[in-house]
Order: sequence, then structure tokens, then C-alpha cells
Amino acid sequence: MEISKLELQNFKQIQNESIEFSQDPDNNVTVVHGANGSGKTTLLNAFTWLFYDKVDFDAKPERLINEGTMAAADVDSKASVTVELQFEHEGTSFIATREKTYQKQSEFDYDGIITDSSVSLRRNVGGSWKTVNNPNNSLNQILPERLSSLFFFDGEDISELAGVDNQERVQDAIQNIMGLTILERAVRHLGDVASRFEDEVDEHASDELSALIDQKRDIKSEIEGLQRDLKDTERAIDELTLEIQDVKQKINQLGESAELQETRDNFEAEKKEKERKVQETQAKIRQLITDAGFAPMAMPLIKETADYLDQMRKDGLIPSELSNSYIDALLDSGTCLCGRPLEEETLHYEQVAGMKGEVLEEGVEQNAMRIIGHLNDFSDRRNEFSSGVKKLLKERKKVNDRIDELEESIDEVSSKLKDIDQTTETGESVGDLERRRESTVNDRGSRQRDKDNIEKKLKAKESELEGITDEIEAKRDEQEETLVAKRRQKATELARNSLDTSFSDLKDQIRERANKEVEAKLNAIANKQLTAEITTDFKLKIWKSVGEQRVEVNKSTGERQIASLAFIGSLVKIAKQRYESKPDAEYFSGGIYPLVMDSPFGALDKYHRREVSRVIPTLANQVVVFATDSQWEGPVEEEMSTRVGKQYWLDFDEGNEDSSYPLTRIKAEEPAIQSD
Amino acid sequence: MVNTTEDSLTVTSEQEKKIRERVLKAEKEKLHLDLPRGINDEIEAIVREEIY
Repeated sequence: MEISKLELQNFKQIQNESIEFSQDPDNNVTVVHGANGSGKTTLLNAFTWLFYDKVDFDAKPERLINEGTMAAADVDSKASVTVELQFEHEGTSFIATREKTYQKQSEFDYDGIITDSSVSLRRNVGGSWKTVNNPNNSLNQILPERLSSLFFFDGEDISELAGVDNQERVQDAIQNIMGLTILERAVRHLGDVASRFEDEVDEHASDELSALIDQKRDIKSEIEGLQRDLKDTERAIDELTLEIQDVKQKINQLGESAELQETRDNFEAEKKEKERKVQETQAKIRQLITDAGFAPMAMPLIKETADYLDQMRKDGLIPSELSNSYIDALLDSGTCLCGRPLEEETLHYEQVAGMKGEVLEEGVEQNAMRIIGHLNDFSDRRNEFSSGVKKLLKERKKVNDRIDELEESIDEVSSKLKDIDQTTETGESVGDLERRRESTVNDRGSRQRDKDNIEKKLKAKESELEGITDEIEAKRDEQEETLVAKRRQKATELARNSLDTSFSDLKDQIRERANKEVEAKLNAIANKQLTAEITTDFKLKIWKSVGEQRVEVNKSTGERQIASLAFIGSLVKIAKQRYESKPDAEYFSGGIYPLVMDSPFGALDKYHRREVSRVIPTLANQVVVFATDSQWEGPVEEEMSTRVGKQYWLDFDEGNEDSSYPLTRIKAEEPAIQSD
Repeated sequence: MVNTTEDSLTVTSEQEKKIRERVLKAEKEKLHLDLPRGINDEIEAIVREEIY
């Protein structure tokens, strides 16, 4: 899709204006300059209104029609709001028009009531314009609404994508652009329908089965509650981690405290390494116990057996030959040599009886002596085991002692930091910051313990659910309705599970691909210290290299905005690649889309404005940027002016409320006076 | 009353596949809607038709 011209009539403060967009691939940026409140957001909303009949205005959202037009109109007369867009899509020219007619109700009614509403889409076929049936549906197919927030957005909000709470937005964005929404919805809806069939089973079920179903529902709702708690706890941990990073970066602003913090970081890294070592040693101890732990336990019994056999041998109770008569005597006595009872038709009895007639090469006495010898070997194994365990315990103690030392050193650093009165640029003392860091670390530790507990409970509940599901499955009610409903529930669940597996696999593949694209986009930007990552749980994380360490970047910084833009840019690229490689893909064919951004430079400092300006023209084939003069001047203009194909200025007159009303004119030439 | 054998709860892979395909088709038709109303009814009807 390539947009060529936007025309607006009576849309908010714009009475009758138009904008032509640059379609030159080398100069693909169209800039609209405008002071705050002059109509930049109005233009962004004109797109969403035209395509989806939706607007998002902070002030007077109900008043769409131009105030001046309504003021000048007679009571009962009508006036219309119209937005028209000319664009190309897949080689065809289109004109989309949305119009709403308002009727003025009274002298001071500037809102009016809607009397007519229409949308039309025309396409050029061989030079003549043909009306497209079902225009809303067609517009949605050309630029799906679920994708629109990726292509029309307020740039100041974009850094939010990399925020703690935007996991779902990142996941949605990826799902949408890759056409996974169908799978996601199918999985969800099949789950709903499976519950419907479960209700039906319940309706016809025996009391016993019904009780099991109720039990299953209770467990399911407990699981849902635990999953919610887990999510909240994980989010809290993320927030606390960011908070700790934030405080640490502030402490790093001063030389002395930075040095102390570096020392502490080193201690902490060593402590972590030692803790890992302790885990390893413990695993070795466990293994040793599994392999040879029986030796010391069995030793008294083994010794007793060896002594007993030896005594029997000395007393001549073990015959030198195993004769048939000796075996018969044993069988008759009902007790074996080892002391176990010998009852007919038992395995042991049969084994002993089976020895009759066997001629042993060596005498029984010799065998008994060998057994006594083997039993004594256990003593050596016990000794090996004991010395092995002792060695490992010694090692573990040594490492634990070092951990204790490191903990003391870490505490010492913390105390020193707490004693520093110097203040950072933000006016906080290092001491206060350190106290804040310490308390946040403790909070995080406590949250982590909560998380571990929730996970443990969740695991137990999930296994309980599995058990009860099997029990329900095994329960055979005789009512035909119950059986059919059960089969339907089972079929629905099977279909759901199989789609869920495909969905998870595809999502991961796509996440990895998006990750590579984001990385490539970021690498294209000058700042090589920055890396972005879409984590397995779909969080967009932004990292910065500080020395040899990697730290997550501060909240609300230019880096986040840059990385978020890189993320959007990578999705635009993936959509384009999909369109070019698989035009007939089954569920989503991708597409080529323009990017329309309101104030993408936000409140960035000069350095980051330059970085953002470099990346913006590369994000999509066609880029439209709305900016105030103060955002544009300086680094943005320096970087982007060579890529600008067309530019416009919004000339805003706020009116005086008596005889004139807010009015924005769109000019292709810079007006004489401009201000923010 | 029906014969409650093991088979009474068996769902063939062919039936499952058919349900999957028909559900995906129904979802595709409603993809452009924010709230695909009635989709659960449609899916329920699909399962009823395939498993009877």
C-alpha cells in the first residue's frame, strides 16, 4: 500500500485542506510541521477514522465536525465531514471516502446529530472508477485494523513497547503481523466450547461424575488464580529489577561510589560463582550416595552375615559337598540355609529343589569362603565412600566459608556507600540511594520466594487436575447424552491441544526471526552498545553494554524509543517479506505499509533525536512524520532533510470564540512565524 | 442405554483434523472483527456435526 493524497473537509479544525505524500523511494519521508495543538493528532486520526470509523482525541472527542462550519450553519441545516484518501494497493489505484452528515439542532449546537453516514471505496479499472462492494470489509483487508496501531501511532508512546507491562502488546504485534491471530483465537474459542460440552456432560451425568466435574472446575479456577498471581509477581520482580538498575546507575554517577559499586559487583559475581560451585558439589555428594551410599548402611549386616557364615563353616554346618540328601534335608526342614522359609510351590523352594543333581566343581565350603571374602570387600567400598564424602564436604565447607567472607565484604561496601553524603545529579545522596537499593533488593528477594511458592502450588494443582481429568475420562456413565457430550468435549480438547502446540511452535520460530530483525535494525544505528531482545515470554528488553557488563536500560530513555522503533521497523520488514515471498499465504499474506508517526522525537535529548532520525527513513517504504519546530530543528533536520520528499506546515488559528473558530490550514510553504 | 465400551469415547484423527480445519476457516472469516461474535456457537455447531 502506498498513500498518495489525503483530503479533509470539516474534520475537526481543518475545513478544506489536502496533503500529497512523497512517493519517491529515495526521498520517502513526508514531514508535517506543526505547533502543539495545531492539528497533528487530528491528521493521524483522519486515517483511523477513514479506515475504521474510529478516533482517539483527548479533547472534545464527540465533536468531529468543524466548529466554524457549524457556527455558520442555520439551525436544522446540515453539514458534512469528509475524509478521502487516494492510494495504490497491489498495483491498483483506490479512492476511499468516509462521510458523515450532521444536522444543527439549535443556535449554539456545534456538535450536531448525525443524519447520514457513508463509506465508499472505488478502484480504477482500465481508466474508469468502479465502486467496490462491501467497502468496510475491503478496507479492512487492505490495512487490517488489528495491524493499524503498528502503522499509525503516537511516537511519544512508542517507547512504552519496551516497558514492563507491554508483554501482551509485543506478543499481539508479532502475532498480528505474522498471521498467527487466527491460531490464537481458535485455541481460545475451542477452550470455551470445550467448557460448554463439559456443562452438557454435567447436565446428564450421574451424581458421582457430576461431583468430579465440579471438583475439576474448582481446581481449574484455583489454577487460573495462581497463574494470575504468578504473572503479577513476575511483573513486580521485573519492576524491582529495573528499579535496582536505575538506582545503581545513579550511584555510578559519582567517582567514589562508582568504584565501591564496581568492587561490590565483583564480589557479587564471585559469590554467584561460588554458589554455583556449592550446587555442583552437592550434586556430586548426592551421586556418591546413590552409587555407594548403601555400603556404610549395610555394613553391620554384612559383617554379621560374614561372621555367621564363617562360624557355620568352622562348626562344620556347611557341608563340603552339596549332596542330594543334604538338599532333601533342607527341604524337609522347611528352612533354607539363609534362614528363609522353604514352602512348597514357592519360587525359593523350586530354586533350592532345582539344585538337586548338580555337581559343583568346587566344594560348598570353598564357595562359602569366597562369599565371606566378597562380603569383606564391602568394607573397602565403605571406606572409599566415607573418604569421598569427607573430601566433598571439606570442599563445600571451604567454598561456603568464602561465600561468608564475600557476604561480609558486600555488607561492608554497602555500609561505606551508606556513609557517603555526596549527592548525585538528581539531588539524592549516595547513602539514601544505597539504602533504597538494599531495601529494593530485599523486596525482590521476598517476591522471588513468593514466586517459587506459587510455582510449587501451581505444579501440584496441575498434577491434581491431570488426575481428576483421567478419573472423569475413566468414568463410564450409561446415559447416551453424557457419552456423546463427553466425546464432543474430548474432540474439542484434542483439536484445541493440537492447535495450541502448532501455535506455540510457530510463535517461537517467529519470535526468533523478529529478534534477528530487531538486532539487525539496531546494528544499523550508530550506537553499537545497544542490544534488544524479545524474550521467550515476549518482553521487549533493551540492554546496554557498560564495560563488560550488560545492563537493562533506564526507564523512559531514548534507547527504549530507538529499540521500540527498531521493533516496529522489523515487523514492517517481515510483513513486506511475507508479501513478496508468499502472496497467497493461507492466513495472512503480509503487505507493504506506510508508517505514520505523530511526534516520534518526543522529549528526547539531542543525541537520541539524531539516532532516531537516522533510523526513521529506513523503517518503511513510505514514512510520514508529524513534528513541532523545536523537535525538528537541529539534529533531526540535519539527518532527515536529505530524505524528505515533501513537507507541509500546519498554520493554526485558535479563533476568539465570538466571531472566529479554531482553524488549521495546511501549507506547502513555511509560514512567516512558527512557534510550538 | 448405550454400550459403554472403550470405543464410545474414541475420536478419530480424521474427525479431529476436520474439526481443526473447519474451525480455522470460521476464524479466518471473522478475522477482521475485533469481537468475533457468534464464533463459539459456530465452533459448537461444527463439533456437533462432526461428532454425533
